[in-house]
Amino acid sequence: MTEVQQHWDPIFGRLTLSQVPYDNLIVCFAFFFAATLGLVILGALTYYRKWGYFWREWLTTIDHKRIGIMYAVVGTVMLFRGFVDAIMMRTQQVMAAGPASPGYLGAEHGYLPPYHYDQIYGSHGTIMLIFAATPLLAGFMNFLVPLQIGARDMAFPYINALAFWLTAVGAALTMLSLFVGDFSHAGWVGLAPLTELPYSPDVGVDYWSWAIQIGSVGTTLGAVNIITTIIKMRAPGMTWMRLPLFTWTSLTTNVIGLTAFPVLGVAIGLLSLDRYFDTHFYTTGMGGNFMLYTDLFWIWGHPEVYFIILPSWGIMSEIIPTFSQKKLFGYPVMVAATLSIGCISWTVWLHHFFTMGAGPIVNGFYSVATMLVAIPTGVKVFDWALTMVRGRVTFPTPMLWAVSAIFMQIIGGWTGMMLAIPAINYMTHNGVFVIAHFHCVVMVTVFAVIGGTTFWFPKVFGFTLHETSGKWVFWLLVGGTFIVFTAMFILGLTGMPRRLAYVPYASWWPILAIEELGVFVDIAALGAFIYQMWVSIRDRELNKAGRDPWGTSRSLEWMTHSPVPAYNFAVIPHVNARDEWAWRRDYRLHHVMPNEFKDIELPVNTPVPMFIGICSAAFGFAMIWRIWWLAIVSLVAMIAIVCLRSFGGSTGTTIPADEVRRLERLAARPSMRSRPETAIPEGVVVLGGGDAR
Amino acid sequence: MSVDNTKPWEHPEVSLSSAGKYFTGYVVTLALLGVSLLLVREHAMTAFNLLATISVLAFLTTIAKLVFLFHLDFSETQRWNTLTLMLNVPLLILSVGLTSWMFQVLFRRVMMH
Repeated sequence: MTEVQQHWDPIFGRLTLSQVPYDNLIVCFAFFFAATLGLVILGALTYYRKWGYFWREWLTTIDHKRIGIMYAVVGTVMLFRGFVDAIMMRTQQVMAAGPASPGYLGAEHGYLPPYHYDQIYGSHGTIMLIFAATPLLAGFMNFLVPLQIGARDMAFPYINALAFWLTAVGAALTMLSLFVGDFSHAGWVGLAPLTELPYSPDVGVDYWSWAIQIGSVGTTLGAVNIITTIIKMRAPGMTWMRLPLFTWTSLTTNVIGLTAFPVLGVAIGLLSLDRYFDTHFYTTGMGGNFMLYTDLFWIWGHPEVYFIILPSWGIMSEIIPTFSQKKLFGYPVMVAATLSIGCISWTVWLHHFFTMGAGPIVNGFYSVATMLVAIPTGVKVFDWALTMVRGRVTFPTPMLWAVSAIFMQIIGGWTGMMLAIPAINYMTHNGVFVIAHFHCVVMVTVFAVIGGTTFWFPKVFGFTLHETSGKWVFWLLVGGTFIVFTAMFILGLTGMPRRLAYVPYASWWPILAIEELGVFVDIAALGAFIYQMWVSIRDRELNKAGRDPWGTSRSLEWMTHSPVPAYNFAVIPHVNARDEWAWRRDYRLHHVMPNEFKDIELPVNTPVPMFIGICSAAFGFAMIWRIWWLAIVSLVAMIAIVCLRSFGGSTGTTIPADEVRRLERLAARPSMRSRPETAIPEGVVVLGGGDAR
Repeated sequence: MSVDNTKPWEHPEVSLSSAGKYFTGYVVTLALLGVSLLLVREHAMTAFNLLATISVLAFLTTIAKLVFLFHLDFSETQRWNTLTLMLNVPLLILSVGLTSWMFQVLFRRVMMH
């Protein structure tokens, strides 16, 4: 066991009151903001007597739809936190350009001392990729995949809840580092050997490593669940080549997740062994090699890029055909492109460290492999474009987001191809050109996620979002993004390195100021988004959505009611075509309601996943602060809870057929109530029966 | 191969498991890993021999885990699980193989000889 040089005692480990940074004005402000918001939420729950509802319907739920929403909530909260980090970084750089720039709040230049600034870029990256983008997409996959394949829930609903709680614990530990201790100053990638104990003696790196470690166990469990669900739970008739494209991308992304996240676990696990048990995996000399860390990290890191981008492409592939009123162009090629990107994702990771010095043949191999990614990606861009050709294209908000995501994809992709050339990479390595490039790529995810949220919002909550303010959000965010990253590309080509707390050249100030201006536009977009949410919730009764609020949607989830009932489909549908809902609309079968109902078996709620989550939070906290007794107690408690659960109780509940009929009658609009199953032409099966092929 | 959810014991994959197998799995894998740790700690061999030996031990540990803990074999019940695992083989070859190649080239270029 490694001895730490600072204070340690057996009860509180490294934790002392002085670890609470109450003398830091910025952290104090953040604390009061978070505390006020927390008190308002807790107060509202108490005042409106919603604690019972909150416990029954949310905290203990194992319904895939509610878990999906909870993932989205965690992702959104973390997205805002990551956005605040971004604002702080941009502001610091614009205030700290050139030797004459003044300093405030104890900083030599700007308002953030380097150690604080370093933690902010570390947390920005970690949060945005692992605790914002990943949960947001996990939310989409959780909510949509069972609906799109005609299932009642996930294959393992209990593990689904557990996966969510572990992800939430990872996010919570990251947030906690704001107020107790500090966060990693070694970047989101954890630059070795900077993350080793002699160079990072504080708890920052431990917060980072345990948050990722616990969160990634959740992501891995979620991946197992979604893969199993798609393979085993498809409705009758839902053959592989009838799967909606979002489901295909979810499958590929989770195969990537399942195979890549364990590598991250090992990479960070070895780092923890170095920090806790005095091993030397990543120290130079003593037989260790810090490039081994970089290698292992990017073996996960590059597939993770596709983990984030593939579901976003899936979302775009659902939105674009809907608002082109045409089927997706080149569906089989799209599927092949998705799968081949999944395969190629495993062969390109060295392009993140071309400058390691591995020689021309190795660099050449990875350069060519990286360029191969452009082929399936290009195929996708052409397929989306050709879907729109000769379609009846309309541009409501989701379509605007999807189309702008294509443009963002092209900019991000092109600059990616530039960076795939080692010679260019040597010049731009560690520069802001790289930052601008990958932000364009992750902006594809942001655009697709906002587009997807607008698109499926009525399915989730039963009312549509306010359209005019949605367009305001769109133009402001796209405009702001364009300003920020065009300026950043220019700075990158000028040679500006990344991660600078102090910018040495005052001549860069005007371009930094343009970036700051873009950030202000982005803040206005956030304001418009809050306004949009407020107006939409206020007018929810006026904007109630039916089963298919867009009128032109194509896949199975639009067949059921909005919001979706607990059992998803009253009777499991029989799938006849690739775009089943569009097919039914074309054949005038979309009003068909079942005449007969059967009892529906559903999993029953349980607080066990939340309890395991709480124990794992305690375990993570204990490991970070080296409170050994708490680590042992929480680990034992976790194992005990798992054992106890296996002994007993009922895991399923039944909704009687009569209740299903009553709920269906309530949910259906009057015009649909009198359309019996007899309207179906002979030889066509639309409901239930048979095995999925 | 569909089995009623209310009778988990009749599920063919569940009926494969046994306390003896799990116990053997834990003991064997822990022993193999313990031996590796000991060899490394004591610097028991030359660097190359050590690398070769712990690679073999790691391979054996993997096999022991697959057989005793995951119960993978070529029987009717487990055929698909075993086959699916085979999909990981290319990934293993890619990640371990390419890493070895990269580092071998790197050492030749940047380390002192």
